[in-house]
Amino acid sequence: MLGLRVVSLDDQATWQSPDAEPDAAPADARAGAEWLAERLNRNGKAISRLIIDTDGGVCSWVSTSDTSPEVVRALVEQPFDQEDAQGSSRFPELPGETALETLGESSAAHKGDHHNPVRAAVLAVPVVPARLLIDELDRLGIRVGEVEALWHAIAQAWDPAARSSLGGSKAERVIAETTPVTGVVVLDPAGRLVWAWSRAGEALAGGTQRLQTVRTVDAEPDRLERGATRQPIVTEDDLARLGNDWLAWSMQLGVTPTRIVVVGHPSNIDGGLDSAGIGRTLGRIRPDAPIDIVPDDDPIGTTLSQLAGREPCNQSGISELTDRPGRVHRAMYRWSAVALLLAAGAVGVFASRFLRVSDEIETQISELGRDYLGVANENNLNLATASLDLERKIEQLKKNQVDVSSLVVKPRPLLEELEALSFVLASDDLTLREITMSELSITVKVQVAETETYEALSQAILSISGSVVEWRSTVAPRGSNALECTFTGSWPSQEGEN
Amino acid sequence: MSDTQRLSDDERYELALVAAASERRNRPKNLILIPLALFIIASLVLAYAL
Repeated sequence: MLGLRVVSLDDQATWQSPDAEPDAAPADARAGAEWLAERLNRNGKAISRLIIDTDGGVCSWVSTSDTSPEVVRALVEQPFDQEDAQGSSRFPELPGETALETLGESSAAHKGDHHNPVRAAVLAVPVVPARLLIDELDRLGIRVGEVEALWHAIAQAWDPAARSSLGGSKAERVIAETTPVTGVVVLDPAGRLVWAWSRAGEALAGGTQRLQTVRTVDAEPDRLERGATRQPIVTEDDLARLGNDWLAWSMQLGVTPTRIVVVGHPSNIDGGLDSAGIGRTLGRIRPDAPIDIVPDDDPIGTTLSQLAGREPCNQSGISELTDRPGRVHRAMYRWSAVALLLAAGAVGVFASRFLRVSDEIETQISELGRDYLGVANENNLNLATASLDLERKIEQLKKNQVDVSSLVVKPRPLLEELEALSFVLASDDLTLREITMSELSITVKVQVAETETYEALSQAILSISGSVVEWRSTVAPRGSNALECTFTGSWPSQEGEN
Repeated sequence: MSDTQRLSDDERYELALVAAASERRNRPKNLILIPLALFIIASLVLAYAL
């Protein structure tokens, strides 16, 4: 690992590996991760996008009817016992060290007709340093979002259609449109030409060529060249090789760029073409395509800056690294195991309780069976029909049952009648001589002075509201000036009375 | 980019092993298997009880 560049909306920084020894890769990854963690402490604990350089990587094509990762890997990686196989010679022979990713429309897992295989663009990028760095970042608690190759980044950063497609569902598009293929050429002052084809920011193909460079200042060149000390030299031969590459890709994919963007600041010394010369030469390669020239001393840095703050495109990226398990996955597995253990425990407890209740019910059933047998034997019942016989007996007993409440004679409403009589007898015109109340009858003896008083009293007693007593009355003279009235009331007969 | 040096086969193999071991450690499928087996056994016992 040579170094790291961190680009955010308001910050840029570069870290160079202190040790160029190849066996120091783990130590470099650790040191780089720690440097990154220190910088990220100011801006949060996550990297939205990790872009790995394509140096040593290859983008080529395979013919397959199934572009699932397993099939592509089987096609690309050479079997150990077939070292002379020709099919995978375009890819680096680094089994287990490269990430393979299909590009463009073939990146969606596609299972086609086995008789009509399709051409799928596949990039193979050595990812061992990236794996080490991601693991170290994960150890330090830094989350890494999308991991992409430089080709993905170039496609998203410079394709004009990628910017116009931003906004998702909120984008204001009035009419349907076809998305053109854009070819982006980045002239890296580190001495290489990196190109990518894209459609709406999605990389379709990519490639890299070596370029000569010229030193612009006397200082020693940086190992991570940022355009301060060198300039690339692009010759007609370099662009002819690029044209050949693009012609081959056009034949494989059936598309060709209709717009070209060149990013960089080439030097025109030693036979090199300046920006205008590059534009003229590319115009001969693709006569109909408009060409944009973006002069920039540090095209890689500007590419990264273009992507700062932008959401990664969902369809791009190196899935092996993006989906690389980390602490979050380990925690997820651990908690899943705990949840499964708890669920197993709960189900086990429930099952054991169920078994215990089931045993108790079986015991009760056997006890009931014994009781049934005993009752049947005691009553000389047939075992087969004992239950029915007992039920029939119970029904008969219920029918013969007498309602005891009907046998009890209700008490007479003595108090109510006495209260009613007290209202009638509360008069100064009469004298109460005697009142007798019993369960059998009521007798009231009253002395009055005049016959009219007797008649009025008799009428009042007979018309007492709510009274159940049937009254009879007799009157007899008492002395010369008084009458003795006798009222005899009898209770109505009740049920159960003879 | 011209400063890159090629790793020996042994070193590359060792790095690949370290990366693979880290991936396996972060995806501990064995941790799930035992609780899953216990859950299946408990479910079978419950089904028998029902």
